[in-house]
Amino acid sequence: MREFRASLVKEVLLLRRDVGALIILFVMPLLLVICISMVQNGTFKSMTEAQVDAVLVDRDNGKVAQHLRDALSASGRFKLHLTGDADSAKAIVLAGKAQLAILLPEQLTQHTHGLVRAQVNKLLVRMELSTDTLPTPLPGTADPVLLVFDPATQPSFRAAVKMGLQQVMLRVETEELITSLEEQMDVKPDAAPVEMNGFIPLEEQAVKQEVGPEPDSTQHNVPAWTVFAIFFLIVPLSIGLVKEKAQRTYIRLKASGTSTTVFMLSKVVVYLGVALLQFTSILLLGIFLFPYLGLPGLAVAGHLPLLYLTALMIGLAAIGLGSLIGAVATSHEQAAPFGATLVVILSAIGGIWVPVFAMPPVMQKLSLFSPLNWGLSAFHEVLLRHGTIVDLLPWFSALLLFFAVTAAIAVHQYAKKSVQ
Amino acid sequence: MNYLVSTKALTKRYTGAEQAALQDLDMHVGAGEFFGLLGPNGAGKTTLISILTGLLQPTSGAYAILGADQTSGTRALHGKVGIVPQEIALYPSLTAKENLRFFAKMNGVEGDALHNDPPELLDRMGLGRHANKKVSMLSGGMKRMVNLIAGILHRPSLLFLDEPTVGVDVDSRNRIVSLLKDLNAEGMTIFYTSHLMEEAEQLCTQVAILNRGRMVCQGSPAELIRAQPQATTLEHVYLQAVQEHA
Repeated sequence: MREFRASLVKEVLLLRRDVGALIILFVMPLLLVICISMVQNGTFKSMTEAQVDAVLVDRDNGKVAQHLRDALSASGRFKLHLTGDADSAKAIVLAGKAQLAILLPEQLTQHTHGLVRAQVNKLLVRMELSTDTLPTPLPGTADPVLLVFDPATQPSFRAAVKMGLQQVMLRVETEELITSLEEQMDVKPDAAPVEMNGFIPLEEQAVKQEVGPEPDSTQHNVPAWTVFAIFFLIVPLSIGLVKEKAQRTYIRLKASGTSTTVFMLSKVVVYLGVALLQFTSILLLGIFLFPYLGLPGLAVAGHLPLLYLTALMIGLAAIGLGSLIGAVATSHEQAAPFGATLVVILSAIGGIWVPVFAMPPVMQKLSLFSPLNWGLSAFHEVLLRHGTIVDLLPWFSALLLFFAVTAAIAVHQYAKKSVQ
Repeated sequence: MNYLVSTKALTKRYTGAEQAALQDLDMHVGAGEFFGLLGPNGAGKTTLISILTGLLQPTSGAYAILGADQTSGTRALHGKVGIVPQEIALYPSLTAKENLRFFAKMNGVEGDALHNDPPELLDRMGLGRHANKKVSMLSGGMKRMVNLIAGILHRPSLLFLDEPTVGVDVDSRNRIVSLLKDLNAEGMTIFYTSHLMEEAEQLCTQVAILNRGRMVCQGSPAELIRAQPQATTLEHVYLQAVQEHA
């Protein structure tokens, strides 16, 4: 026990004096969580709430084009900048000054009105409200409304914008249809206007009624990047282990009868403390600082014990992996980039960057083998699904087993490789 | 005689090596001796110390340390054996005092000894005013002296020293040699390797010369010098022994 305490003190002193490690462990994770949350929150807004800069070229100059322009502006999602021709619009987009150009074709009004009248006429004949059985000549195929996107925009952004535009165009088409119908049926000008929406209301409901606020970008981002940050402790941990091999301090301890397990255990305890401190600092950041940064605050009410237990399990898995890398690596030049790259790969596989459900089937299967995925799933279970300890057991078991296996191999390999 | 170290047909062959690092080594070190293990680079000195301190397993043969055989493990010798590796086996970001207190604690030192001995020994070696400096800030000679102190704070019965004076200035070497003499005079058995024949002749009560993993000769420096008519120093004995068995 005395040896263990002495080792603990030594580990704390070593860590306290390693400025680089302290930055990696405590400053970088906070910066990472802030940056990613702000960026992702902005991206989320750009697809849902924020205005998109769009250059509009109106080659129709008719009623439908005007109707479309009004509807786009009224939607609040597009900030329209009118320009004269397609080339200058494309140049603006290419320069990144607008995210897209909307090119309205010539004769848009004529084609749309022709098609609408033909449809209304057909409808009136079917309703026997018109005797005009003569076929209405079809006005030919209309040229499409063209969208030109900035190459820097993401496919998800383009899909969201297209969907938004289609909604606006559908509304315009419906309004044109009703206006034409009213004209052909001689509806009195002072008649009550037709309601255009709200027939089938759409609302989102929480999967569990007792839960608090709906999950927002913070609830998704903070757990993901917390797992990533905790796993980054493998870099200083593995470097420290490699240094003790190279400095022969471990040899001195081993020769004096110190057990490798005690030596490793002191590192486990200290780095577990580091993981919990990291977690605490990220929690405080999410709860108290995020609202000042214009981000949704992190809601953890009622979940703290399970969240800390989850962070503890994730910390153990990260320590196991870091110990293994430190035991096997022969130099810190080997351990540091390998450890860092491995965390990035495991995080990509584990759903930190892109949700697992959005991955190709092969990657979804691979994600089952990433300890970062187990950790993230456990956090989601607590924060988003409001699970109990029983729901968390599969993830905790996987993380604990991973720690046990990697730590056991690390102890064996470290003792073996240190004397070579 | 009471042997603190004994080996019997001790052999170590590294995987893939053409020649054994140690071959059928029989050797005894009695209590209270200052034993010098001499030999050229690659003779097997460090391999022998690594085996005797439990860091390496021999390929064949047997050995015993302080009465405990090789199956006992290093734990059985906890606090009884000290080791001073050839490398500076200290934590560079800890101070000299922090390093010494740590290694002392790990070897079971406690109470007054833990508080008093590190500063006393640092003072004796002329390092008192550097006690609170980080090891990384000390000179090569100072580091080597702290490296030595870290191995003796727990007053082991048997001390292994792997080239303790390599690369140090004359003053530091004199301090180290003086300390080692005193420790041996107090009863500590010292097992030491060196390339410095004059130093070995001055310090050792028994000397063994290893060459290419085999024991070439063993005895007190005076006996070995007497045994070779043309030799007047241990260095002569050493050179002749190494050349004969090249």
